Amino acid sequence: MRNQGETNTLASNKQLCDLDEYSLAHVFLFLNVGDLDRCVLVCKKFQHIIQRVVFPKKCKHALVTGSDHGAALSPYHYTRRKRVKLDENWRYGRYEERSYFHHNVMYISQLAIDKDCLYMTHGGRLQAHRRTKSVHMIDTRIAWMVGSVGDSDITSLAKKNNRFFAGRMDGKILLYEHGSGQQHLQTITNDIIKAVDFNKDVYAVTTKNESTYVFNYSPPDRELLYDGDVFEHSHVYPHAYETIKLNNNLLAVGKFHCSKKRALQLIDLYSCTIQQLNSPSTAVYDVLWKDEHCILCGNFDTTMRLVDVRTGNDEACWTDPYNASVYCLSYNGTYAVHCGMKYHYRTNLYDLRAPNRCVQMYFPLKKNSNFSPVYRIAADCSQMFVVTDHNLRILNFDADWAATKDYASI
Amino acid sequence: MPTIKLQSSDGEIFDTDVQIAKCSGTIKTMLEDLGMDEGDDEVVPLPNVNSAILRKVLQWATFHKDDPIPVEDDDSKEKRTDDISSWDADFLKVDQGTLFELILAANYLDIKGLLDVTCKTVANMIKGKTPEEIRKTFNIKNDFTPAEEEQVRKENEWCEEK
Repeated sequence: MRNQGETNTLASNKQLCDLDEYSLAHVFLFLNVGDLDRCVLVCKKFQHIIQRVVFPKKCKHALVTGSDHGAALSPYHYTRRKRVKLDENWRYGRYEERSYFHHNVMYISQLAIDKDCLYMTHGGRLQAHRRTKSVHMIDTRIAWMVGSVGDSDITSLAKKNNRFFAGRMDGKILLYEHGSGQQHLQTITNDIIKAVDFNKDVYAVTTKNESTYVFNYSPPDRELLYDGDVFEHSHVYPHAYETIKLNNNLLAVGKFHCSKKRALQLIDLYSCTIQQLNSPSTAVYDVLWKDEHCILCGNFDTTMRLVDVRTGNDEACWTDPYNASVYCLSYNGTYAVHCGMKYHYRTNLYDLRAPNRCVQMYFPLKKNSNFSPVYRIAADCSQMFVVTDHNLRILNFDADWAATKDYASI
Repeated sequence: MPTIKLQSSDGEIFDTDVQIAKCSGTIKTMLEDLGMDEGDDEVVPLPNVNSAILRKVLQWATFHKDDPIPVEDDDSKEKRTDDISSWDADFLKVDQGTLFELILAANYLDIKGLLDVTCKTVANMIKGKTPEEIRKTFNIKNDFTPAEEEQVRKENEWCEEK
């Protein structure tokens, strides 16, 4: 029998710094940025591991800020440490809020963002505003504008690179190419246009009451002044939808109401067939493609769901803890989905890795109007843009000084 | 119950229930891949773990033998450190040297549950402390020059209200 004391002394000589990189990194992964900032100052070994291993790893798995897509939408270049810090702010609700473009008359604005600008519609106009690195976040002066006050309201907007495709209340569609300044307006229906989307050469439009149109686009010859219709009907489906989104030849569509709970469907534009997806819902308010096989949809029944079109089934579901419908969605390309909810200007943050758990809820200040829905939402890795009844709210999470408003655990 | 023999670095043999030994990914792989069958009277050598630590590891594994298999790095979960069970907290009331030996052993033997709980314990010892307090707690020498230290501080400045 060995001497117990001897083996114990053998065991107890180890120091924290004797641990290998992997083990130390494993310890550090349990610390937040505040503690890591202090650890970095302890010694060079700690500094090295935290900067080279811990922040990259935390960043890779970060919910909101780990996405390259979200980073590409941001005017800022954040370090990995900063991205991890921002992610903590998203999780704990640390942000500063500003509101812009207040309007007394209630209308719904359409919204898009990129690295340089915020694009927002006001009635019949589409306005671009430069994003700034100041505390105001955007320049409220109009950088450029399409349309005029008298034009019929823009009810839907899709943007890819410099190209904007919008549908109007009076049944007209508008294609605008920023840069060349090329603009094209074409009447396609007498009905109100509800939703539009496009990809390389297919343009899809759906209306409130009657039909869904699919167009091919033939760009006008640059030499000639072409006044005719550049959109040519390729197919008309006799169904109207609330929301549509294209993915190659597939069009994901959601109905405003379906008493048989068959509101989510898929249209194959090659075969011109409509496929029913087995996601029982009476109303779908927003759809988007998570990737080439999966759809995210926001529903009347307060759920946000992940639907795989190969199986046609719900793969995961998130139910709002406060029983509000999901009006709009924004997906960051990796794990984070921001949902605009029906009441209280509220937005929910969901993690696609964690079904049916709400990571955080954001309740912007109640001012000017009560209980507005969030109609449109957009986000990059540090800011969230929220369209309400009477204004635009911007929540800036790059705000270490702000108080946390943590609703995750209630 | 089938058992296998584990041999520590200092030569002590531990007759161990196979089910308990298999909570170690390393031992599990050895048994499965190397075709070591239960019942064989072969000895599994563990040259990186001494008997005092192996005894602790097996004590932990015995208590946790019915735990669900931990998911490989569930990254969506917040890395919490306030969820250590009271049994584990008592079990880990050991000197620092033993705690670090347990981390190394958990790492070598690939026991995720033990690795997590030991690392959490160390993380809790770090939380809220200043760099100087951390150095004092763990007997670490400051190898930064004042200029380097200032540089690191600057890089990590928290932003003030603009």
